[in-house]
Amino acid sequence: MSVFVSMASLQACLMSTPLCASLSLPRLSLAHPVAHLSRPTLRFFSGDHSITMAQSSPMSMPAWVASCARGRMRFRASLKEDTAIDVGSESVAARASPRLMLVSDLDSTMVDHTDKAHASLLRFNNLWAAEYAHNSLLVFSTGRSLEKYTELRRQAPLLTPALCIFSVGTEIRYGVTMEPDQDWENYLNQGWDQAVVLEEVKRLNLRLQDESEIRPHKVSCQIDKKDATEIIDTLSRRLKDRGLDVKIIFSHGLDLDVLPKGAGKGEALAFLLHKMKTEGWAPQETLVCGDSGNDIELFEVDGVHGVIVGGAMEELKHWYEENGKHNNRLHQAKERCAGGIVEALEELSLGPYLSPRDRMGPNGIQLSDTASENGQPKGSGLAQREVVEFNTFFEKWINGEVPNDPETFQRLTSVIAPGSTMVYPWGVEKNLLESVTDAQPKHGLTKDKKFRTWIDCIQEQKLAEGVFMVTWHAWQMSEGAERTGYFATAIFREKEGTPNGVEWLRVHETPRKS
Amino acid sequence: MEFMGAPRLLIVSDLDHTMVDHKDQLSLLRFGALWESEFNHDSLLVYSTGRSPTMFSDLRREVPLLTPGIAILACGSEIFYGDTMTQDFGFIDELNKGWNRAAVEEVAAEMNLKYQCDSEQRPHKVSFHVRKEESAHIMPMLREKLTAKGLDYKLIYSGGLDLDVLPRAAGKGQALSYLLKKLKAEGRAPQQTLVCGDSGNDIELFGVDNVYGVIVANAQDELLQWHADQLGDKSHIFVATERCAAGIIQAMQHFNLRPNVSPRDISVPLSVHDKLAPKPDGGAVSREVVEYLLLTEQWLRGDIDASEEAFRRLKFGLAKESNRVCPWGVIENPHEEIDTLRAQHGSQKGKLFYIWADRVRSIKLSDDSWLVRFDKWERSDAGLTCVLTSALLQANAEFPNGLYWRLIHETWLKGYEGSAALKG
Repeated sequence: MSVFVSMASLQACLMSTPLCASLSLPRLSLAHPVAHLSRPTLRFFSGDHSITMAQSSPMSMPAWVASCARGRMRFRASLKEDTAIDVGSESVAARASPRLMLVSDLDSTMVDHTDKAHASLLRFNNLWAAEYAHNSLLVFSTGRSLEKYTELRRQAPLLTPALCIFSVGTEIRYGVTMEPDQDWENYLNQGWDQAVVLEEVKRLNLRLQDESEIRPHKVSCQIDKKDATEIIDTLSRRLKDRGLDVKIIFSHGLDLDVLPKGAGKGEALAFLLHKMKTEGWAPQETLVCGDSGNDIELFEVDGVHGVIVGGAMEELKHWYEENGKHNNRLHQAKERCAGGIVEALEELSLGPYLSPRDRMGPNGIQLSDTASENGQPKGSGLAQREVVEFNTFFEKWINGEVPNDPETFQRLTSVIAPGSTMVYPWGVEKNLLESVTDAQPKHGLTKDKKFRTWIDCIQEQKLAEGVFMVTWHAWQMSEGAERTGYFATAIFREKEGTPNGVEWLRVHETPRKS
Repeated sequence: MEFMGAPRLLIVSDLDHTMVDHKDQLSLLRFGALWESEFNHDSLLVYSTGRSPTMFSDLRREVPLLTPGIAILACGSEIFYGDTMTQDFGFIDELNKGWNRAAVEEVAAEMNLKYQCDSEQRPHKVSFHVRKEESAHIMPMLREKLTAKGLDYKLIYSGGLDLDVLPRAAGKGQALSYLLKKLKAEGRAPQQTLVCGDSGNDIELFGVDNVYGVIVANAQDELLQWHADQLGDKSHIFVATERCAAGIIQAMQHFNLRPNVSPRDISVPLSVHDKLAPKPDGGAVSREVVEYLLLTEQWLRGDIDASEEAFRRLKFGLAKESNRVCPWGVIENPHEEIDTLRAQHGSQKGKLFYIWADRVRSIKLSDDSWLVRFDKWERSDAGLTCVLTSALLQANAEFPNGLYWRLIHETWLKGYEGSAALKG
C-alpha cells in the first residue's frame, strides 16, 4: 500500500494551462533579473508583490497559489554576510532562465559520510564552479532542519546553494540570509496542527527525534521497520479523525516524518518551479538527486530529470524498479553520492561533466576545450573557468600531483600579466608573477597533508570590452587543520594564446571572519 | 602599477626637520595629500636622509610619511628602489673604491671617538658624536689620520654633534648625481627637480646641476650661513618662511611647479552644481581617492559642518549596488552601511585622528572604469592601522571627479591590523 501521497492533484494543476492562463499573474519586476541567477543571495523581487487571482475556477487550483494571493511575497535579499559581490554591470548569465536547476538531497547524496576526505563532493564542487555556477542554480533539499544543516556545513565542504528546502520540504529559505518563504508557510498551515500531531504521536508511544527535528510543520519520530506499516496506518487514521490533512513519510528504514499534506520535497519543488515559471525564468532543465524514501516525490515532479545515486536506500531502489525504470529521464547511478550526480550529468546529457580536476591530464594540461563545446560566446564564463582551473592546477602542484618541470609550471606563469599584483590575505602585496614563481619550488609540499581547495559563490562580471571581474569565496582545508576561507576579487583582461583567453591583472584576498 | 616613466617632477627631500616636522603632523599630511592626488602617478618622490634603514622604518611608524619611489639612506651611502626596497649594488661597488671600514675603526679607537648607536653604523658609514667645542681640534686630526691610512673618505659634521665618515663617493649630493645619471641613462630624466633640506649634510643636494632648492624656515644655521655665503645667481634656491613640508609646498608655489595647492587647504568639492563632470582620467581617480578619504576624516573630526550636501557626497559617492569586502572579513553594502557615519559626525573632534592615502596607483580598464589600489592609513587614539585596498571606480558625471565607487576590497596590512570599526 502506498504510504506516499500522490502528486497527481498538484501535477494536474500545474499542467493545466487554461487554468494558469485564467490567473492574471502580473510579471514581477526584478531588480536585476539577469544578474542574480548564480548568486547565493538572490534578489528575486525588488519590492513587495502580490498576485491577483482571476475570479474563475479557484477550486482545482493548487491551494498555495491562492495563499500567494492572500499573502504578500517579499524577498528582499539583504546584503549582510557572505553576499556575493555585484557591480551591477553585465553579468555572464545574460539569459532569463537557469540552464540547469540541480536539486539535491544532502546526506548520502551530495555528502558521502563514509569519506572523510569528501573526494567526490570536491570533484562536484570543482565542476560546478567551473561550468555551472554562472548559469545554473544549486538547490539543496534535505530532511535536515536548518540547525542540523548548519552543523553539516561545518563538517563537509558544501557549496552555498541559491536556496534550501529544509525539513522534508516544509521550509523554503532563500540565499545565505535564509529568508523563509512566507507563502509556503501559509499554505502549509492549512489542515495542520502541530500540537495535535504531537498528541497522537505520544498516544502511540512513538519516540520523537531531537528537538531540532521537530519543526512548526514537521514532527519526526524513529520507529522500527517491522512496525512501519501498522503505525503509519493507525496514525494517519487518527489524525484524519481529528480533522487534519497530513502526509506521512517513512525513510532510511527508521525515520517517520509527519507533515502537512501539501508538504514534501516534491511539493516544495513544484511550488518553486511554478513560481519561477510565472516570473519567466523557469530552468531549462531540472535534475533532482536523491538516495532515500523522502526523495521519491522529487522524482515524481513533472518534467524533471532524476538520479538515484549509487548506494541508495532500498525503498528508493524499490520505487525505481516499480515506477522509474522505463523513464529515460531517470538514471540509476553506479557511483556513490556526488559521483553519481556527475555520472547523471553525463548519462542524461545535461551539460559538462568533466571538472577541471578530471580534465587535467597527468601533465597538467587541460584535455578539452569545453568553451567551444558549450557554444558559449567568447569571454563569457571564461575568466571564471580560468579561476577554477588555475586554483585546481595550483592545488595539484602543491600536492605534487603533476610533474615537477618548468613546462608544466608554465600553466601558471603564462597567464599573468606583467606588472600585475596581488594582495594576500595575510596582509602583504606582491608582484603576482614573482610570487607565483616563488611557488615553483613548493611542488609536492603538501603531499601528505591532503591539502584541498574549493571555490564557492563564484561570479563573473564584464566590466568593459575584454575586461572581466571575478569574485569568489576561496576555501582551503588540510588534514589536522581548521578550514580557512577567503573572499577574493580578481580582474582579468582578454589575452590571446592563454588557456581560457584571459590573463590575470590583479587579485585581492581577505580572510573571512570565522 | 608603480610609476616607471620619466618623472614630471622629482622631489628629493631630507626627512627629519625637512619633510618631517616632529612637532606637528599637519604639514606632512598636507604635502601627502597634494602628492598622492596630483603627482604620484607621474612623478618621483625621493627621500635622502641620514637615517639607516631601521631608523627609517621607525620614522614611518611615527609620522604620516608617504612611501617614496626611492630612498637614499645612511647619508647617501645606500640607495633603495620601490615598494620592495631593492638595494642598488652598483652604487655599493662605486663606494667600495678606496674604502676600508676597518681602517676607520682603527683611527677611531686611536682617537677614542664616541660612537653613535648601533643602528647608525652601516657598511659604508661610521658615525660618531663629536661635541661642537671639541670639533675644532678633532676634525683636522681625524683627516690627517684617515688620509694616512690611504682612504678615500668624506666627513660630514652636522647639527653641532653628528659626525659621519663615509666613502668619498657617498653623500647626499653624490648619491643624487648617481641617481640622476642612472635615470637619464634609462630614459627617465625628470623634467623638473626640487631638492629640500635643513642642515649641513643637505648642502651637497643644492650643489647638483639644474635643480631647484628649498631651505625650510626652520633650517640650521650652518645651512643658512652657507646660503648667505653663496655668490652669484642663487635664484634657484628658495628660503621658505614656513616650517618643514609646508615650506616645500611654498617652494612649489614659488617655482610654479603645479599643481601646488593641497586638497587639505581647500574645501573638498561636494557637487558639480549645474554642469556635469568630464570623463575621468588617472588624475581624477587619484583625486577622488584622496578627497573621499579626506572628507571622511573631516566629517569624523567635525572639521566640516554636518551638512546634507557633505553627507550625500559620502553616501552617493558609493554606488547603490556597491560592495565592500571589509578587512575584518565580511561583505557589506557600503552605501547602506554609511548611514552609521551620520551619527558619528564630530566624534573625533579634538582627538588625534587622521586618515591618509599612500601609494595611490590606478589602471584604466576602459573609458568608464578604473581599478585603483592604495594604502589607507588611519592614526587615532587606538593606534596606527593600515588597509591595503583595491577599488573599482566607474564614470559618473554627477560627481565632482566624474567617478563613483562600485567595489572596495580591503585587507589589513600586516603589522597594522585594527578591529571591526564603527566608522566607514
